Amino acid sequence: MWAAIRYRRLQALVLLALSALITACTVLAPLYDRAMQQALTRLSVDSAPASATAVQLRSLSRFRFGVGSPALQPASLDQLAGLLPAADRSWFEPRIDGTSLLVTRADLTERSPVGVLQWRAGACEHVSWLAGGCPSRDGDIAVTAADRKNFGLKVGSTVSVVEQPAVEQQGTLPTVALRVTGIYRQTPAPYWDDQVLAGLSGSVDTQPPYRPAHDTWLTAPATFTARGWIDPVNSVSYNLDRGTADVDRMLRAGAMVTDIADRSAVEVDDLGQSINPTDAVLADVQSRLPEIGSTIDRGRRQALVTVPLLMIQLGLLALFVLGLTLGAAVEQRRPEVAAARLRGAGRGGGRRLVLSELLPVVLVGVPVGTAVGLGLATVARRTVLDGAAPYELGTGFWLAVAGAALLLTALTWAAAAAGTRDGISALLRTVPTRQRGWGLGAVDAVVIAAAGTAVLAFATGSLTGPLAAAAPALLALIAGLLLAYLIVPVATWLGRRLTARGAYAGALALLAVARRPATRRVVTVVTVASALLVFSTYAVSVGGRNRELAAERDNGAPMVADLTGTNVASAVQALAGAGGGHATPVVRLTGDKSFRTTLAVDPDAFGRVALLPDADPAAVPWSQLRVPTGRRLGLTGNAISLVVTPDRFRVANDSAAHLQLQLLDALGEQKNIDLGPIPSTGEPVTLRAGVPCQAGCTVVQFAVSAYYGTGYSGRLTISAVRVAGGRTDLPGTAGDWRAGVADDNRVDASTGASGTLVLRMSNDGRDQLGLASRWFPAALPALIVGPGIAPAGARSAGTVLGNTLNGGQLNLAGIGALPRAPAVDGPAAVVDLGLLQHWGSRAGRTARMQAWFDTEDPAVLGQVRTALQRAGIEISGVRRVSDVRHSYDSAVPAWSLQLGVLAAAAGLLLAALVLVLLVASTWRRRSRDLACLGLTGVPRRGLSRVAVGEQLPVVLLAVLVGAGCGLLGAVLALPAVPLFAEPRDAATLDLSAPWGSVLVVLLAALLVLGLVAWLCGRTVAARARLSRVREVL
Amino acid sequence: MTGLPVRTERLVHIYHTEGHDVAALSGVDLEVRSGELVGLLGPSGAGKSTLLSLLGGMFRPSAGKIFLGDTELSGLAERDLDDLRATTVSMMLQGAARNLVPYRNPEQNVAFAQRWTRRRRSDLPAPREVLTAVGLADHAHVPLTALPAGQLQLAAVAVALAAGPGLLLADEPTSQLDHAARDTVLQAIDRANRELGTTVLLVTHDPAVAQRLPRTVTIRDGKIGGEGRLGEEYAVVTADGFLPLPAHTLPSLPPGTLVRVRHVPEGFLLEVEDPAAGGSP
Repeated sequence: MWAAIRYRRLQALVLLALSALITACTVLAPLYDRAMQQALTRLSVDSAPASATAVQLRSLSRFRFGVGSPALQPASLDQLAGLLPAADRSWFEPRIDGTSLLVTRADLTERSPVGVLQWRAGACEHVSWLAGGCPSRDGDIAVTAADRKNFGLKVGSTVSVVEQPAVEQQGTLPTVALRVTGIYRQTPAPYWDDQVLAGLSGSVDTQPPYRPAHDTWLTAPATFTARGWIDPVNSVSYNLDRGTADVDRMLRAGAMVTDIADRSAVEVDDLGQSINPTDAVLADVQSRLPEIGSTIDRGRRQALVTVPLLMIQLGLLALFVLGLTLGAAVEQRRPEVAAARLRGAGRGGGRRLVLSELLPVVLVGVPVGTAVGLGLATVARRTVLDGAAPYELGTGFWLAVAGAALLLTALTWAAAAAGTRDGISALLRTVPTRQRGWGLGAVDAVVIAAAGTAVLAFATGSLTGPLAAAAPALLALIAGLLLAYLIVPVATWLGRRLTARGAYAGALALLAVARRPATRRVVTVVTVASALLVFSTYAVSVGGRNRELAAERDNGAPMVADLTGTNVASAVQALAGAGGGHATPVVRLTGDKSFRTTLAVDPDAFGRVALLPDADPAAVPWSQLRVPTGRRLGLTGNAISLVVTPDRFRVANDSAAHLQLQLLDALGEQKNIDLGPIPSTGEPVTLRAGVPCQAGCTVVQFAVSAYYGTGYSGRLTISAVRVAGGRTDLPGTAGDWRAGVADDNRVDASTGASGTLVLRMSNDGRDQLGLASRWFPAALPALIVGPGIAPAGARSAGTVLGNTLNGGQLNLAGIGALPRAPAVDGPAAVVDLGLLQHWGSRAGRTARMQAWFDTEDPAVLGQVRTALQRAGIEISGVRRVSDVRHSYDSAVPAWSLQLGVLAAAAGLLLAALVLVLLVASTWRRRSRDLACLGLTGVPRRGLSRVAVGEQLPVVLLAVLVGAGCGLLGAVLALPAVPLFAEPRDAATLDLSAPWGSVLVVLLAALLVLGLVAWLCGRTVAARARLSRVREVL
Repeated sequence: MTGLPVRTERLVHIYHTEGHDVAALSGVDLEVRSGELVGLLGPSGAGKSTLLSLLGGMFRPSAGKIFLGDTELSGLAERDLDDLRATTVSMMLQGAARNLVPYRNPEQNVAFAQRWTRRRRSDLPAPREVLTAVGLADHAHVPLTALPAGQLQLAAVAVALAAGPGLLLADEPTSQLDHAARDTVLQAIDRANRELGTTVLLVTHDPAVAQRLPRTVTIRDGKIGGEGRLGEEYAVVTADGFLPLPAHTLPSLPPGTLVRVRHVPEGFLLEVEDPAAGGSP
């Protein structure tokens, strides 16, 4: 056996390499698949906020079933904790207990602030103390710095509170005295399960009675246990032990949480009464573990398709090449088998002879390939998967090793059996019988038909999904087989023509191409390998490009920081000039479905900072977002009086019409002040009303209020406007006001004598009209994304509704369109932040302040953070476009595509091995043939050209054809190959060809395979010595 | 080992090729006694190698029978033919290389040949003994690529005799050899015939070789055309009564010549009828 291996050592090496490659691919598939699942799990868990991977169990309100129904007994802490199966508790860290309820200040009557009073076990260890210390006794509380500022609370202050149950109680609830023992700042930590204790202080509810809020007050457990509150909420949190979370556990965790939610869910009858068993523990279960589990499962199922699909293509190619190699090896041994058969070996003996030489070599490739597969998996874990997957050798790995060994053994046995079953005389024949002429074999015809059917199905959309990744290989198979058969007649014809012209080197080379059966195998293998290489490169480039675009779209800017607080003006001022001008303020306003997301920005800076991959920033009319306005008409004081002089003012039906003044107070809330009835006589009348403008108000408009359908007309002169305890810019001049117009109805103003304002009105009563301050544009200019409106100025221009900073409504007028707004998915509008602040500068619950940066430089972030902190604003979170990109790169589709690159590189290696193998198997015969040519007078240089010409042009042609198939296959397949874990709008994908990458890899393939073919030819020619003609062995 | 007798009856073999058939043997009746050394002569394409291949069981005749000892080959299964080749019949192909495994030395080749016999190693001669018998003991471990043509042929002979066969079928064992090498090879074969009792049929078209053989059979146009024994050439009457004339008489007796056979005291006399003379000799 060793003598035989040494005699054909190059062939043995090629066989070993192929066997190792097949084993490596077989072993790599389950290893990589499992590693991807673990990495996906690790990244999903690590990127999820703490609350998402926690299981938070909250007791239900005792009033859950309504006031008239029996009160529900809220679950205790131990009962809540018992909902989590004991067997699964090892997945989580020790539970965190808590109790909370809503309280409102009883010692303030003017819109008493409301907020949460909370005990959470271990809270004091997760805050930093700005003053005082941890509340430890009944009635002790700790408050935030914002509450200290907004409500004057300090260490030692006492407040009286009453509970604010979910259902209003009859009678007066007892007052509880609480004592401030500390001023705290929350330390961000997973402990908190993303609960943010601060940020609400001073913010006002948008619904009546417009109560302000205070931040969460921390207290000691005794505050709850020492007294009988009406409706406290108990909570138990289990935070996932992220260090031990693996894919199997995460898949089960989702089901476990769903089961808990089902067991603790309220079940009611048709009358809304509970039908839960009396001993049922009812709770509100909060956890995103089921979603995370679904995400992981989705990725796992995605990988189950894409990974085998890619590896199967490579595996089949490798098996094909191994089959060729084994066939060539067996054919080489036919004379020895004949010699054995002559001595009585029999068919079985001949087969055993061949197997004894080939099988050990092939099987040695199994441990080698296993080691290579393990190595590749390790490299992939550390590079592609960012080290996020642990080292595992599961059942799949061992099955793959055994399967590879079995498959290789079977293939070797089949090759040996097929090559040795002929009779002795056939075995002795050195020139195989050849079919006269040329034609497509039956098997090849079936393969072409099947592959062609599949490709047609992809092209027409009948076959979709990840199977589309097979399209390039199928196309290449068809092209390769057809090319292989067409080469024979074409090469023969060309060879004869060259012979007639006396170009013997080229003629001999072409005729050799035509007559060697190996040519067809080379063409097929090289075509398929080249197609795989180009397709993989194409897919990886396109995938990377789209992930980059998606990251830019989703993040909106290179870096985005979320800010705490509600004072937009302070944030804008703090950001002005901070960080060297690299940051710009953005307020993101979201509402219910009737509103589109609005981005309020500084247009000039935004155009520079924002990432707009779908539009040319220079072509966007940013400057049109700012329009000139009139001056602000202010009013400060607590009461207003003015003199109204009617002039031929009439109200239909002798009804009364009231003059109203609309104001925005300091918090941005709209106040309608009824100044009183408008006199119908010509005598001046003084109208008076209280105004809540001690902190300052902005005048919105004068309006006339009458019953619907009650018309009025005439003039009113407004003069002598006085404000008690303050000042005002009223009545202003005509230029400060914008007429109200609707059809034939109109209200406008002119400047009267001595600083008076004359209102001219004509209204049939069907429209509510007012004289609006020009400080407020009629419609805020906006760049519209999504279903839009006609541009401003169009006669039938409609408007879309937008949000003010504190959640109010206003009209937006489109001045241009954007295909997509940065960091917004869906309909959106971009408006000028400065103009929007005319409606108030305090951010409500639907507004989120952000700072957008044109750089990811941490130094810039640090400078901006410092500037914001001086204004009492903190950065609560930072997102970088590189992080978003990384999250897309760390997903199954990206990992699968990268595996495809590995498969393609292996395919190229296979193609090179085939070329080497053919030389290894036939060099003696070829060299002898060339030596015979040398005997006839062909010079050595000509022999070299013949030897190289036999392979090089064929190889180069096959590479080009394969590349074309890879390109075409990519065009067919890529729309169906998942580029993201979650499907994205097809309109946002850029699937155009990455010509740069494709050309580079094509050149590389031409160079590598061309070089191998050239070297092989030169090697054969170098051994074409004259002495070889007489060789008998 | 006792030499295996060989007998063929009306042996016919036709090669079927694309477009036409070629009758390589057209009814060969041959008898070779146990331990006999017979040469098969004839021009190229006469059917010599075909006859040898049929006797070796490499393929089956189109018609006729072959008896090796008491065994009739046409009824044997493939396995039985393998057994025959393993035990009693040994073929030596034309061209030494085709009989040898190129990466094994002569001793290893003999051992390789002995591997397939159905006998215990102890029942077989040692490979060195076989090589000694053919005069190649001194080159037992020399790589085949280093052996000259004559020694390569001796190696092939040794491989053919490795299992001590009852019948040795050698195809052109001395072709492309110089005189000395040729003599050496013939001596080896002759020694095997005498010492082992092996029946030997060897194909040659070398007259010098034929002269040294005790018996030669000439194959011509697929039939037995004549025999030579101890330097004398004989025509052989076929089973169906035909008498092929020696080749050298054919120019004088072209097809269609009338010949009268007369029984004379010395035997039989062939009188050629002169068609011009109206029948007189």
